[in-house]
Amino acid sequence: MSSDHATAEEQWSEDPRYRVSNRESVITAVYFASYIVLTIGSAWMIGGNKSIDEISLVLGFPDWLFWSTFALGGVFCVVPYFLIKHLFTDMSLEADGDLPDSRYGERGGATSSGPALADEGR
Amino acid sequence: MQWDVIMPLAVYLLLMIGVAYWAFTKRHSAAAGGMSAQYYIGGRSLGWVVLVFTLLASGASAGTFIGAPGLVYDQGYGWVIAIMGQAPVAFLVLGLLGKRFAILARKLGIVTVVDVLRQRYESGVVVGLAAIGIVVFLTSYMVAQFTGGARVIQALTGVPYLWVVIISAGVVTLYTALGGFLADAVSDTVQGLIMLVGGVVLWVAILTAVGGMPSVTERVARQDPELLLLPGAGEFTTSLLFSYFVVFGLMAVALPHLTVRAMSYRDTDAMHKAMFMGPIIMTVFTLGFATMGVVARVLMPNIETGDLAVPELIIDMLPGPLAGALLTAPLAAIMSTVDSMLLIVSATIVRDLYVTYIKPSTSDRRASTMGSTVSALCGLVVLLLALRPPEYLEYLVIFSIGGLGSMFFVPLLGGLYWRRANTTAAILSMLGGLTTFVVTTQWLPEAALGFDPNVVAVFVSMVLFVVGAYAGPPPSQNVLIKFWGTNRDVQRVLARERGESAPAQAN
Repeated sequence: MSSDHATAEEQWSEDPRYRVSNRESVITAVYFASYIVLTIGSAWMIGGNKSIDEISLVLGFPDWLFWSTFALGGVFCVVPYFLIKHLFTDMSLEADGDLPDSRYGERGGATSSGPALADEGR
Repeated sequence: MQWDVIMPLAVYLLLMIGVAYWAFTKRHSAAAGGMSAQYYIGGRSLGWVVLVFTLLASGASAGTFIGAPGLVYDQGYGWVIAIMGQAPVAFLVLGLLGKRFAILARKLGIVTVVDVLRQRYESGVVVGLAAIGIVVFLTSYMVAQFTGGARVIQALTGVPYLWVVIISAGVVTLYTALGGFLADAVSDTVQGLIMLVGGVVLWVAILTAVGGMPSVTERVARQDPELLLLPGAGEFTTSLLFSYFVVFGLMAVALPHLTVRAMSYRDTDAMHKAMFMGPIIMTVFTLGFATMGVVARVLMPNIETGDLAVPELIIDMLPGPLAGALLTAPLAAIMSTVDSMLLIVSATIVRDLYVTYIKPSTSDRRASTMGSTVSALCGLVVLLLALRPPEYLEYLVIFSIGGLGSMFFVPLLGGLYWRRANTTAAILSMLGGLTTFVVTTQWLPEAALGFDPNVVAVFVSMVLFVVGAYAGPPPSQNVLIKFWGTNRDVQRVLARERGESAPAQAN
């Protein structure tokens, strides 16, 4: 159909790269959520509301600080490497690029039509 | 005047002027039609090294190198945990905005964050709010950076405050006005490397000088045991720590000077490498300087303001030239943050207000020249404001960051990921988020229920966003196609919006 006539009924399809990108965003969010929970959680479980006599030293730092920031912080520095290596996808970023292969569905697989979108919108 | 300390600082400043000259020559070689995009976004050409350093150096400001150790000095190790919330910031900015953001920006020719909001929400009110927010908050943040840094450098070197502000602000303004994004990114890389090396050298040098961490900690345990405890002198709670992680980590995604970097990289390889190098480098910056607050407390218990803790430590413990070299780290942190912000304020005024609303016929070359002029003027305004210093550095930083975060976070990410998001949602969430932030910060801290006002502001902003999305009409189909469609569909819509007849291709 000619785009001159294209109005509310216009046919269009979602860029297949966006689904892959969205999945990576979810992975990022899960990473940060676990980072928050584990860092603060471990600091508090180990050192929360203790007196100075109850705190032992690890490499010269209070135990709660060492385990939550140095040790766990180190772990969370390494985790991104594996996340990216195994779960992130190389793809073209150019405006009219596409996914490198069809693992994530054929091009235009997420076709949306005008009326269906309008339903979702209301 | 301490000339041995001043010399390395002077060398560093000369190096920055060299960067300005290099970027200026580079800029003139930009292709016709791409000059403005070259000035504001570096032609989307960044590789991973420059990308990761420009992200981190723009994010890590005087707060990381002066403010955070100052708070650790005053209130103990709890602040080290709080500030570690920023460690994954590069991972978050690139990962949450994602490849989709980089692709979108290429399809729609976007070079500013306000441009994203304008095209997504099609509303002058949204653009106006965003523009005012950026100009006001980023300007006050820049002023805070210079006043904090200049006070420290004056105290240490004897160079008068006035001259420190004029010279450092002058150099930043010079290379930003002349060289734009590329000068910023390259100088950020130099500055980031200085901060990284500085963080490591500081640790090794100071710990060698004091005979290791255990002896320091034993003395702290006798003198000020509160510094080693949780909640400790900072009166931390889990909800307060959670708040700082959200503020320093998550909300940084929506800070315009960081967001814009998520559309500046060349390819996914650059993005991936920056994503796994980012947390490592930021962790070194953060831990290297923040933990020094406690060391300073042992060695120099009587420093009048926490902001001076680490700088005084450096000067006291290390020989002059090495001290001067290490002090370039906080100065570099300040300048690398300010340069990116200057450019955002300039882009907002020129691209988002002038070219969009006042004179759409502005040529690319003219817009690029105006960019330089406006950057220079903004730098001048910041410089003049910085001659009258405000009080507590880190709190000012949190205030401006919080203002921007509570305005931008929800509409930006909501608009990117939720098709139902519309103009009403954006306006309500921006106004509601900002109002909540200001009211809970200034008048009703107890309404934050033990959380930082930022967190409450983002929550309120989110609720209003959803309410607005269902109260107002859904976004137009053009918007949906532009933000979700394939390039063929997007270009068809853009052509129609420009009023051109559609290309007669088979469809």
